[in-house]
Amino acid sequence: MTASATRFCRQSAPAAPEIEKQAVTRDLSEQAPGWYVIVWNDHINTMTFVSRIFQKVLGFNKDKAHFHMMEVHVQGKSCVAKESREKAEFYWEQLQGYGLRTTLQKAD
Amino acid sequence: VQFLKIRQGLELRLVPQERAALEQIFQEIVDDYETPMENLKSAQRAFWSEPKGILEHGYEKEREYWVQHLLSLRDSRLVEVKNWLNHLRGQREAKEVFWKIHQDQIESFLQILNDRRLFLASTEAVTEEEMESNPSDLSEETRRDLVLRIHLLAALMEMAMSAWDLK
Repeated sequence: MTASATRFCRQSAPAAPEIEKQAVTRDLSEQAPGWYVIVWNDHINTMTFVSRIFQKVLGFNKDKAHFHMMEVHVQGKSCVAKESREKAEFYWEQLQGYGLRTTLQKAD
Repeated sequence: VQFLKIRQGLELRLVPQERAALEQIFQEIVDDYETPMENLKSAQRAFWSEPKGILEHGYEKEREYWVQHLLSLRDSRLVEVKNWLNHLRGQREAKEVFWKIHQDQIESFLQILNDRRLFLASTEAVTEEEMESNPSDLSEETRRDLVLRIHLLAALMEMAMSAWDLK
């Protein structure tokens, strides 16, 4: 399913940086809210369940959870958070644990 | 089956046939979780042992950590569902079964039922078209039963969520 860009995800994924550069910048990039958490559509998880997971894991209110759930459903994906690496990993862990297809993407 | 919100969680009220059906569901889930990784179809194996969404941007070297994390989820859910299964088995002679799900277990209950849905769907390669269709319109009986089972599990989840989220 193709998905159009969302508010958080307008830029394409950056090219893989060289290892040396990555080592130097990692400390800063881990703490900065430079990681997108993206949830992808699938045809098994129900809309109610996905909406509830967003409330439970991400602390969204009902309306925001519904908005992102619909974005996943209609557009194929939704960027649900932009966070530090540690927080983004935490969300990935939680969302994946509920059975949602979730990926992380580094911001430019 | 009835889901009632009680002080510290949910109470399920089941007649004997419903208890038996839920016991069978839990047994199938135990079987799913106990299936050795090497015997799983590639889609399920990937779910539990290939944390794809996180293995980019330098995560590759942490692969083992994330694989262990996913496998530990599977193990802890297995323990939980075995307890529930044993509880229901102990009620085989009851005319009416009251089963309490403590509030701390409600998320596990939903996750475990959903794992079963995902497992069934990926094992049998259920398509979006089948999921969107009215099951009675599906010509093959096995596919019809499969989709109905997936919807039944969703219905149980919906009942639990509706009861628990009541103000």
